[in-house]
Amino acid sequence: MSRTLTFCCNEAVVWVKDAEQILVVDTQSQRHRALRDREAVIWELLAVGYPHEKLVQMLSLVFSLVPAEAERVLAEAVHRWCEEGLVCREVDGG
Amino acid sequence: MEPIDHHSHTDIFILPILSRFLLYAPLHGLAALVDLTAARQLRKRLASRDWDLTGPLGEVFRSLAEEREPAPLPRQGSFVPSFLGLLPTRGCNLGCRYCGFQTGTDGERVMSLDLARDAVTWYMDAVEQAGVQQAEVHFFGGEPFCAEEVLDLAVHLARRRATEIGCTLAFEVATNGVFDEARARWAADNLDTVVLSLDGPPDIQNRHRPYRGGQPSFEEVARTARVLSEGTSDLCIRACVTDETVERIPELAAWFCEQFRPGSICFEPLQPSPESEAAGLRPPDAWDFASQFIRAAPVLESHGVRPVHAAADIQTKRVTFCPVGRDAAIVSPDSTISACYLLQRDWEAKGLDLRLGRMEGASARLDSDAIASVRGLNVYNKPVCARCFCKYHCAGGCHVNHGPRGPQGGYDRLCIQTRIIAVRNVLAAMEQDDLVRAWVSQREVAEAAIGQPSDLLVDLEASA
Repeated sequence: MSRTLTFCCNEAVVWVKDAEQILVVDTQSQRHRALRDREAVIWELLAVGYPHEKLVQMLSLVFSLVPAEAERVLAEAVHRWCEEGLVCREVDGG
Repeated sequence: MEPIDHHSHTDIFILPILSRFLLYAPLHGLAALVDLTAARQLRKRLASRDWDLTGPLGEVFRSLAEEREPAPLPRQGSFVPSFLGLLPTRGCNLGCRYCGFQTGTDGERVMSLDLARDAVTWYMDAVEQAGVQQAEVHFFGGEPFCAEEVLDLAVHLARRRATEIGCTLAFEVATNGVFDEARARWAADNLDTVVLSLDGPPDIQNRHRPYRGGQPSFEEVARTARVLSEGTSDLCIRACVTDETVERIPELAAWFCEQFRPGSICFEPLQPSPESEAAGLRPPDAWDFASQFIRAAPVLESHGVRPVHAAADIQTKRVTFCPVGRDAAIVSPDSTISACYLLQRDWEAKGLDLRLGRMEGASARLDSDAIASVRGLNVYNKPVCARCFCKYHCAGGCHVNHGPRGPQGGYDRLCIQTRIIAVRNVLAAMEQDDLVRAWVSQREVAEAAIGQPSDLLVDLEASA
C-alpha cells in the first residue's frame, strides 16, 4: 500500500477570508498569520481535506507549475505552518 | 411633442383589475391604474396621434409619448460568452423523486481537471480580449459538488486570471447542499451566489429529496443552509412545490425565514417528468400556486427576503429567459459547449439542438450557424407571447420545458401563473397590496383578465 500524506488544520485554528487574504488565527496561542496569493490557495485546498498528491496536482494546474515545483511550493508552506502549529501532519497507509 | 413611434403601441399593455385597469408600459417605466373611460381615451389618442391631453391623464399620456427605453434585442455580432458554465458531473448523491437527471446515460462521468483548466483559460482569455469588466462562472449539475475538484480548480484558476486581467469575477452554483461542513464553509467564503435546493422542513424535504438509497437528507442540507446563512454569499433557497405542498407556501416562507437567512426564496412548481409521475408527485394548479405565492410574498418581504418567481421578475427586461440565446458557454464533461445545462436528450426530444461547439485543448471550436440558430430562440419568435404584457420579463420561459408554441394568447399553466404573479409584482411596486388581495380573492374575475388573448392597449375594445 502506498503512503498517503494528509495535512489538516489544527483544531484550535480559525480563519476568516476577505477579497484580499485569509487571516488565520490560533485561538490558543493567539498567533495569527495573513495568507495571500499562493499561500491562500494552498490553505483553502488543505482546509477541505485534499491529500498531498491531489494538492500537488491542483497547485500545478492553478499556477502552471511543473509537479516538482508545485511539490516544493507546497512543502515550504506546510513546513512553515507545521512549525507554527497551524496544521498537523497525518500519515495514512504505510 | 414628438409623435410616438407606432411600433411602441406593441409595448403598451392594459389589464382589467376589478373595476379599474392596469396600464403597463415596461419600456416606458410606466404603471398606472386608470378607469375604462380613461383607458379608451388613451387608446383613441394613441391611434389618432392626438397628443393634446390635460390633467392627470395628460401626465400618463406624456410619459407614453416620451422616448422609451429600447426594446431588448437578441445577441448579435461576435460570440463573447456572457458567462462560463461548467458541468462538473451529471452524477448526484441524491435520488430526488421528481428528477429525471439520474437516468442520464453519462451520469457518473466527471469533467477532467485538464478540461476544466482549458475551459476556464479559454473563457478568461475571451473576457480579456473583449474587454469585459465582469466575468462569471456558473456551476450546474447533476450535483456539482460530487466533482468538487473541478470547482476548486475553476475557482482558484479563474480568480488568478481575473486578478491578472483586472476584471471582477462572480461565481454561482446550483446545489443540493449535501456535503460536509468544511465544504459548506468553503462555499460560503468563495461563491457569490448559492442556489440551494431545499423543499421545506423534514416531512417535505425527505419525501421529495432523499438520498439515492432513500435515506433522509434534511439534516445535512439544513446544516449547509445554516452555514451559508452565516457567510457572505447570497443564499437563494429554491423550493419545488407540488399539489400536496402548494397550500403550505406561506407557511414555508415563514419557516425558511425563521430557520435561515436567505437573500431570496424561489418557489418553483414541479416540472412533471416520468419520475415524478411514478412517485405520485404532481404539479400544483396554476391558480393555487400563484395565489399562494402572492400570500407568501409579503411574509418574505417582511423578513427582508426577496420572493422570486424568475419568469415574473419585472425588474428584468430580456428576450430570452435562460442562458439559451444569451451566448452562455456551458461546457460538459465530454467537452461539448452548449447553450443549455439541461440534458441533451431533453432538448432533442423537443426538436432543439443547443450545441454551440467543442473544447479542443485550450481553445474552442464554435459553430457560427449553431450560434445564429440558438440566438433565434427568443421571445420575438414565440407567437404566443406577442401580445402578453409579460413578454419582456418571462420572454417565453424555458425553451425546453415550457411548451406553448401556439398562437398568441394560447397560454398554458406556466404562462398563467407567471402572468398572475407579474400583475402582483407590478401592483406591489405601486404599493397596491390591498388591490392585489382583493383581485386574487375574486378568482373568476381575475382569471378572465389573465386569460385575455391580447393585453395590448390598442386591442382594448376586444378585451373590454
